[in-house]
Amino acid sequence: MKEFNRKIQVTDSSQPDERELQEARDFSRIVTRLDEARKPLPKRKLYQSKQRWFFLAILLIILILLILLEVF
Amino acid sequence: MGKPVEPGYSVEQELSEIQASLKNPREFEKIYSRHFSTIYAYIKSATGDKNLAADLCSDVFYSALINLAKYTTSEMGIRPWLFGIAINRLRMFFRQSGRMMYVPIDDLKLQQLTEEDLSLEKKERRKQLSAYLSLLNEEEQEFVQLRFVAECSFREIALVKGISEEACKMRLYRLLERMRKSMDKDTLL
Repeated sequence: MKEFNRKIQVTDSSQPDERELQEARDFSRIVTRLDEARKPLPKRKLYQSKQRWFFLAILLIILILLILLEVF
Repeated sequence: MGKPVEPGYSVEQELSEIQASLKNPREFEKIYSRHFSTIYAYIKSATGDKNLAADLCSDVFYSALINLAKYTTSEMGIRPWLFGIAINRLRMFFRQSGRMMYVPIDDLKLQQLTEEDLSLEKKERRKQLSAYLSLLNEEEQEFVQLRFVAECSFREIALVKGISEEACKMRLYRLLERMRKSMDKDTLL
Protein backbone atom coordinates (compact mmCIF):
# COMPACT_ATOMS: atom_id res chain seq x y z
CA MET A 1 0.00 0.00 0.00
CA LYS A 2 1.23 3.48 -0.84
CA GLU A 3 2.43 5.38 2.22
CA PHE A 4 0.56 8.64 2.64
CA ASN A 5 2.25 11.54 4.37
CA ARG A 6 -0.25 13.65 6.25
CA LYS A 7 0.85 17.17 7.20
CA ILE A 8 0.17 18.05 10.82
CA GLN A 9 -0.18 21.37 12.57
CA VAL A 10 -0.25 21.37 16.35
CA THR A 11 -2.52 24.15 17.59
CA ASP A 12 -3.93 25.46 20.86
CA SER A 13 -6.67 23.33 22.34
CA SER A 14 -10.23 24.51 21.74
CA GLN A 15 -13.54 22.77 22.36
CA PRO A 16 -16.75 23.53 20.43
CA ASP A 17 -19.25 25.45 22.55
CA GLU A 18 -22.88 24.41 23.14
CA ARG A 19 -24.19 26.77 20.45
CA GLU A 20 -21.89 25.34 17.80
CA LEU A 21 -22.91 21.80 18.78
CA GLN A 22 -26.59 22.75 18.57
CA GLU A 23 -26.08 24.16 15.08
CA ALA A 24 -24.19 21.11 13.86
CA ARG A 25 -26.49 18.50 15.44
CA ASP A 26 -29.12 17.48 12.89
CA PHE A 27 -30.44 13.93 12.97
CA SER A 28 -33.06 14.68 10.29
CA ARG A 29 -30.20 14.91 7.75
CA ILE A 30 -29.34 11.28 8.37
CA VAL A 31 -32.96 10.14 8.21
CA THR A 32 -33.51 12.04 4.94
CA ARG A 33 -30.40 10.46 3.45
CA LEU A 34 -31.54 7.02 4.55
CA ASP A 35 -35.01 7.56 3.08
CA GLU A 36 -33.46 8.73 -0.20
CA ALA A 37 -31.25 5.65 -0.34
CA ARG A 38 -34.22 3.37 0.30
CA LYS A 39 -36.44 5.00 -2.30
CA PRO A 40 -36.88 2.65 -5.29
CA LEU A 41 -35.22 3.88 -8.45
CA PRO A 42 -37.68 5.37 -10.97
CA LYS A 43 -38.59 2.99 -13.78
CA ARG A 44 -36.86 3.88 -17.01
CA LYS A 45 -39.26 5.16 -19.60
CA LEU A 46 -38.81 3.20 -22.79
CA TYR A 47 -38.83 6.01 -25.29
CA GLN A 48 -36.70 8.55 -23.52
CA SER A 49 -34.53 11.24 -25.14
CA LYS A 50 -31.91 9.68 -27.43
CA GLN A 51 -33.50 6.27 -27.31
CA ARG A 52 -36.78 7.73 -28.56
CA TRP A 53 -35.18 9.29 -31.64
CA PHE A 54 -33.29 6.11 -32.40
CA PHE A 55 -36.50 4.08 -32.16
CA LEU A 56 -38.39 6.50 -34.42
CA ALA A 57 -35.58 6.39 -37.01
CA ILE A 58 -35.74 2.61 -37.15
CA LEU A 59 -39.54 2.74 -37.56
CA LEU A 60 -39.15 5.20 -40.40
CA ILE A 61 -36.58 3.00 -42.17
CA ILE A 62 -38.89 -0.03 -41.83
CA LEU A 63 -41.77 2.02 -43.21
CA ILE A 64 -39.73 3.20 -46.22
CA LEU A 65 -38.60 -0.39 -46.87
CA LEU A 66 -42.21 -1.61 -46.77
CA ILE A 67 -43.27 1.12 -49.21
CA LEU A 68 -40.39 0.27 -51.52
CA LEU A 69 -41.29 -3.43 -51.38
CA GLU A 70 -44.88 -2.55 -52.21
CA VAL A 71 -43.83 -0.39 -55.18
CA PHE A 72 -41.42 -2.86 -56.73
CA MET B 1 -25.79 -4.23 35.52
CA GLY B 2 -22.97 -3.88 33.03
CA LYS B 3 -20.18 -1.35 33.10
CA PRO B 4 -21.54 2.14 32.46
CA VAL B 5 -20.90 3.61 29.01
CA GLU B 6 -21.17 6.99 30.69
CA PRO B 7 -22.50 7.98 34.13
CA GLY B 8 -26.04 6.68 34.54
CA TYR B 9 -25.89 4.58 31.39
CA SER B 10 -25.12 0.91 30.84
CA VAL B 11 -23.97 -1.21 27.91
CA GLU B 12 -27.22 -3.21 28.20
CA GLN B 13 -29.30 -0.07 27.78
CA GLU B 14 -27.28 0.91 24.76
CA LEU B 15 -27.62 -2.58 23.33
CA SER B 16 -31.40 -2.42 23.60
CA GLU B 17 -31.30 0.94 21.77
CA ILE B 18 -29.21 -0.65 19.02
CA GLN B 19 -31.74 -3.50 18.70
CA ALA B 20 -34.54 -0.94 18.48
CA SER B 21 -32.59 1.05 15.85
CA LEU B 22 -32.22 -2.05 13.71
CA LYS B 23 -36.02 -2.33 13.61
CA ASN B 24 -36.68 1.39 13.32
CA PRO B 25 -33.80 3.66 12.19
CA ARG B 26 -35.44 6.67 13.86
CA GLU B 27 -34.63 5.09 17.22
CA PHE B 28 -30.97 5.68 16.42
CA GLU B 29 -31.45 9.31 17.44
CA LYS B 30 -30.84 8.42 21.11
CA ILE B 31 -27.41 6.99 20.31
CA TYR B 32 -26.75 9.90 17.94
CA SER B 33 -27.60 12.51 20.58
CA ARG B 34 -25.45 10.86 23.22
CA HIS B 35 -22.30 10.52 21.10
CA PHE B 36 -22.63 13.43 18.69
CA SER B 37 -20.64 16.00 20.67
CA THR B 38 -17.66 13.64 21.18
CA ILE B 39 -17.43 12.59 17.53
CA TYR B 40 -18.08 16.13 16.27
CA ALA B 41 -15.40 17.60 18.56
CA TYR B 42 -12.93 14.98 17.35
CA ILE B 43 -13.60 15.67 13.66
CA LYS B 44 -13.66 19.44 14.21
CA SER B 45 -10.32 19.30 16.00
CA ALA B 46 -8.76 17.48 13.04
CA THR B 47 -10.27 19.62 10.26
CA GLY B 48 -10.53 22.99 12.03
CA ASP B 49 -13.69 23.74 10.04
CA LYS B 50 -17.13 23.57 11.66
CA ASN B 51 -19.19 23.19 8.45
CA LEU B 52 -16.92 20.48 7.15
CA ALA B 53 -16.96 18.77 10.55
CA ALA B 54 -20.78 18.78 10.54
CA ASP B 55 -20.81 17.15 7.07
CA LEU B 56 -18.22 14.52 7.96
CA CYS B 57 -19.93 13.82 11.28
CA SER B 58 -23.19 13.27 9.42
CA ASP B 59 -21.35 10.80 7.14
CA VAL B 60 -20.01 8.95 10.18
CA PHE B 61 -23.42 8.51 11.81
CA TYR B 62 -25.07 7.62 8.51
CA SER B 63 -22.42 4.99 7.92
CA ALA B 64 -22.90 3.71 11.49
CA LEU B 65 -26.65 3.46 10.98
CA ILE B 66 -26.49 1.51 7.73
CA ASN B 67 -23.81 -0.81 9.12
CA LEU B 68 -25.38 -1.22 12.55
CA ALA B 69 -26.08 -4.92 11.98
CA LYS B 70 -22.30 -5.47 11.73
CA TYR B 71 -21.63 -3.95 15.16
CA THR B 72 -20.31 -6.43 17.68
CA THR B 73 -20.93 -5.63 21.33
CA SER B 74 -18.01 -4.50 23.44
CA GLU B 75 -17.75 -3.77 27.14
CA MET B 76 -16.98 -0.12 26.29
CA GLY B 77 -20.20 0.39 24.34
CA ILE B 78 -20.58 1.78 20.84
CA ARG B 79 -18.17 4.75 21.27
CA PRO B 80 -14.95 2.97 20.11
CA TRP B 81 -16.81 1.64 17.06
CA LEU B 82 -17.97 5.16 16.19
CA PHE B 83 -14.41 6.45 16.61
CA GLY B 84 -13.25 3.72 14.24
CA ILE B 85 -15.72 4.91 11.58
CA ALA B 86 -14.69 8.54 12.17
CA ILE B 87 -11.01 7.66 11.77
CA ASN B 88 -11.67 5.90 8.46
CA ARG B 89 -13.76 8.81 7.21
CA LEU B 90 -11.06 11.31 8.17
CA ARG B 91 -8.36 9.15 6.61
CA MET B 92 -10.31 9.13 3.35
CA PHE B 93 -10.93 12.88 3.55
CA PHE B 94 -7.28 13.80 4.12
CA ARG B 95 -6.11 11.46 1.36
CA GLN B 96 -8.54 12.99 -1.15
CA SER B 97 -8.11 16.63 -0.17
CA GLY B 98 -4.42 16.63 0.78
CA ARG B 99 -5.29 19.16 3.47
CA MET B 100 -3.38 19.70 6.67
CA MET B 101 -4.60 17.92 9.79
CA TYR B 102 -4.84 19.91 13.01
CA VAL B 103 -3.87 18.44 16.37
CA PRO B 104 -5.02 20.73 19.19
CA ILE B 105 -2.86 20.13 22.23
CA ASP B 106 -3.29 22.04 25.48
CA ASP B 107 -0.32 23.28 27.52
CA LEU B 108 -0.36 20.37 29.97
CA LYS B 109 -0.34 17.72 27.26
CA LEU B 110 2.25 19.68 25.33
CA GLN B 111 4.44 19.41 28.40
CA GLN B 112 3.81 15.64 28.59
CA LEU B 113 4.62 15.17 24.94
CA THR B 114 7.71 17.34 24.70
CA GLU B 115 8.83 17.21 28.35
CA GLU B 116 9.73 20.34 30.26
CA ASP B 117 12.09 22.35 28.11
CA LEU B 118 12.44 25.92 29.26
CA SER B 119 14.75 26.83 26.41
CA LEU B 120 11.86 26.67 23.97
CA GLU B 121 8.77 28.84 23.77
CA LYS B 122 5.39 27.09 23.64
CA LYS B 123 4.90 28.29 20.08
CA GLU B 124 8.29 26.89 19.11
CA ARG B 125 7.54 23.58 20.83
CA ARG B 126 4.23 23.30 18.97
CA LYS B 127 6.07 23.94 15.71
CA GLN B 128 8.64 21.29 16.52
CA LEU B 129 5.93 18.82 17.50
CA SER B 130 4.04 19.55 14.25
CA ALA B 131 7.15 18.76 12.24
CA TYR B 132 7.71 15.55 14.15
CA LEU B 133 4.09 14.37 13.94
CA SER B 134 4.11 15.01 10.18
CA LEU B 135 6.86 12.41 9.87
CA LEU B 136 4.77 9.69 11.54
CA ASN B 137 2.59 7.36 9.53
CA GLU B 138 -1.19 7.71 9.55
CA GLU B 139 -1.72 5.06 12.19
CA GLU B 140 0.82 6.57 14.59
CA GLN B 141 -0.75 10.00 14.12
CA GLU B 142 -4.14 8.48 14.92
CA PHE B 143 -2.74 6.95 18.13
CA VAL B 144 -1.55 10.39 19.26
CA GLN B 145 -4.84 11.98 18.27
CA LEU B 146 -7.01 9.43 20.03
CA ARG B 147 -4.96 9.57 23.22
CA PHE B 148 -4.13 13.28 23.48
CA VAL B 149 -6.97 15.01 21.61
CA ALA B 150 -9.99 12.72 22.03
CA GLU B 151 -8.68 11.59 25.44
CA CYS B 152 -9.64 7.97 24.82
CA SER B 153 -8.58 5.33 27.33
CA PHE B 154 -6.05 2.65 26.32
CA ARG B 155 -8.88 0.10 26.30
CA GLU B 156 -10.89 2.25 23.90
CA ILE B 157 -7.94 2.84 21.56
CA ALA B 158 -7.23 -0.88 21.62
CA LEU B 159 -10.84 -1.57 20.57
CA VAL B 160 -10.69 1.06 17.82
CA LYS B 161 -7.46 -0.39 16.45
CA GLY B 162 -8.37 -4.02 17.02
CA ILE B 163 -5.33 -4.80 19.18
CA SER B 164 -4.85 -5.79 22.83
CA GLU B 165 -4.68 -3.15 25.55
CA GLU B 166 -1.08 -4.13 26.37
CA ALA B 167 -0.03 -3.84 22.73
CA CYS B 168 -1.70 -0.44 22.58
CA LYS B 169 0.16 0.82 25.70
CA MET B 170 3.44 -0.52 24.34
CA ARG B 171 3.00 1.12 20.93
CA LEU B 172 2.16 4.49 22.43
CA TYR B 173 5.00 4.26 24.94
CA ARG B 174 7.53 3.44 22.20
CA LEU B 175 6.14 6.15 19.98
CA LEU B 176 6.47 8.81 22.69
CA GLU B 177 9.98 7.62 23.59
CA ARG B 178 11.03 7.86 19.96
CA MET B 179 9.48 11.27 19.69
CA ARG B 180 11.15 12.66 22.83
CA LYS B 181 14.55 11.33 21.79
CA SER B 182 14.21 12.82 18.35
CA MET B 183 13.11 16.17 19.76
CA ASP B 184 15.99 16.21 22.25
CA LYS B 185 18.42 15.61 19.40
CA ASP B 186 16.91 18.51 17.48
CA THR B 187 17.19 20.81 20.50
CA LEU B 188 20.87 19.96 20.96
CA LEU B 189 21.73 20.75 17.36
